[in-house]
Parts: sequence; C-alpha cells; structure tokens
Amino acid sequence: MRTLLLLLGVVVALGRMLDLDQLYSGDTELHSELYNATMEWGTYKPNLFFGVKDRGAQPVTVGLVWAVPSNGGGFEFRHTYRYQSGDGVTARFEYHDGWSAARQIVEDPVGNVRFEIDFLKQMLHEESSLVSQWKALLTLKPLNPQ
Amino acid sequence: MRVVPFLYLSHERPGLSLQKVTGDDGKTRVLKVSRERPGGFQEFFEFGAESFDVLAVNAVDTELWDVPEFFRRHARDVLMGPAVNENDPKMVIMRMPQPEAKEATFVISYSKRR
Repeated sequence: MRTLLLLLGVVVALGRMLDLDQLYSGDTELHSELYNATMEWGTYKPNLFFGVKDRGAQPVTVGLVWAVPSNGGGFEFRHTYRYQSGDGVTARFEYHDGWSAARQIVEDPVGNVRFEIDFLKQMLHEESSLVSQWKALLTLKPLNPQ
Repeated sequence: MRVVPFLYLSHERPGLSLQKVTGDDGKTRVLKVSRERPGGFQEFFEFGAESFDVLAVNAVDTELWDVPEFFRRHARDVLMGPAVNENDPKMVIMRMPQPEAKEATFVISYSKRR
C-alpha cells in the first residue's frame, strides 16, 4: 500500500512538473480568466503603509504619503514601512479577506494621527466581461485628542 | 494632528488625462484621472476631499520607483505649492489640507468601463 501511495505521489509530482514546463513555454495561462479578473486590483504593496496596485505589466499605483515636522525644522515623509525604524509608526490590518475587503490601521505618534483605511472591491458584469470597481476611504483622526 | 497628507497616483505608461472639479469657492474637491486600456476599456480614478492641491509631474523613471526620494527632492514644491504640469503626467500628487478638525476623510474610487 505504501509503495502504491509513493508511486502515486511520484506520478502527481511528475505531472506538476510537466504542467510547469508548459507554463514556462507560454502555452498555458498560470491562472484562470476568472481569477485574473477578480484579482486584478488589490493592496499589493505590502512594503507601503497604504498602496493599491493592479497586476498588469504596466501597473498603476495609488498610495499615501504624509509629512510630519522633524526636529531639524523640516519635514520627514512617511511612505514605506520599515520594521523597527524607530519612528514609532505602527501599521496593521484589522482584517483582510485576500481580495475584496480590508481595514487597515496606521498610527503615527509624532504626527499625532491615526489613519483608518477601508478598502472595498466589487465585480461587475459588463458585456460578458468581469470588471472591478473599488473604493478606499481614508479617515484621519487625532491619536491623542488633547 | 501635525501632518500634511498626500495621495498619489503613479504609473509606467503615458496616457493619463486629468479633470479637476472645482467648487464656486475655487477649491478643488474632486480630481478625475482617466487612462485608456487595451480592449476598448477606460479606467477612471476619482480622488475626493473637502479641498486639495494637485501637483502633476512628468518624473523620470528612477524617481517614480522611489516615491520617498521623489518627495524628499521636491519637498519644497509638494509642501509649499503646486507646480502643475498636466501634460501627460507620470505621477499625480494630491496635497490634502492639513487636518485641524477632529476628523478628515479622503475618498479614492476606481472603475473601468468601455
């Protein structure tokens, strides 16, 4: 029985290798048309505090930057999340379903601001094509109201 | 809140067109950005807020890939006033008003139609 299972595993593995070869030759789409349509847009910028991007070859990126006063009298710009950067900024998703809805919280104690960012996407049928619509709502609140 | 917030849109292909919707008080409240897509589609991005300034730039590619560096280099422009060049921009920056009230809200919406 074990031998049979092992043989079956080898056959499955070889089958997958063959599929990958076909993918690399360009004969087969990596994902289905439905998957590509539904996943065209998303929060595909994990290195940014907030960024929405499409999966096309020439993508558009929509993002958030904010400036806070620095000790030197100028401004510092916040855009890219840096782990343990020392600036005290924290960012997290309260939830994310992977494709259509997300809620993100970003807090900056230096700027005394809390960003609540809601992302919502829906799919519409349009002339036999699936097209996506999305909205992002960015709400700024004082982190410390006083 | 001691912040100056910005929203931006950057892309790697020319062909963006901009349309600003300005109120009677002269404040820009909605910026509509559209882009032609293959297959007869057109994309629409709308940015809305109580008021904001629009800075549209034809940045070189290296600056587009490093948004913080772009902001650092052009800090004076993006902080002090819009230097608008709307001729087929590669990056559109919206400088939102510094929020002084308890709460400020910005909306971004996207749709695609034939």
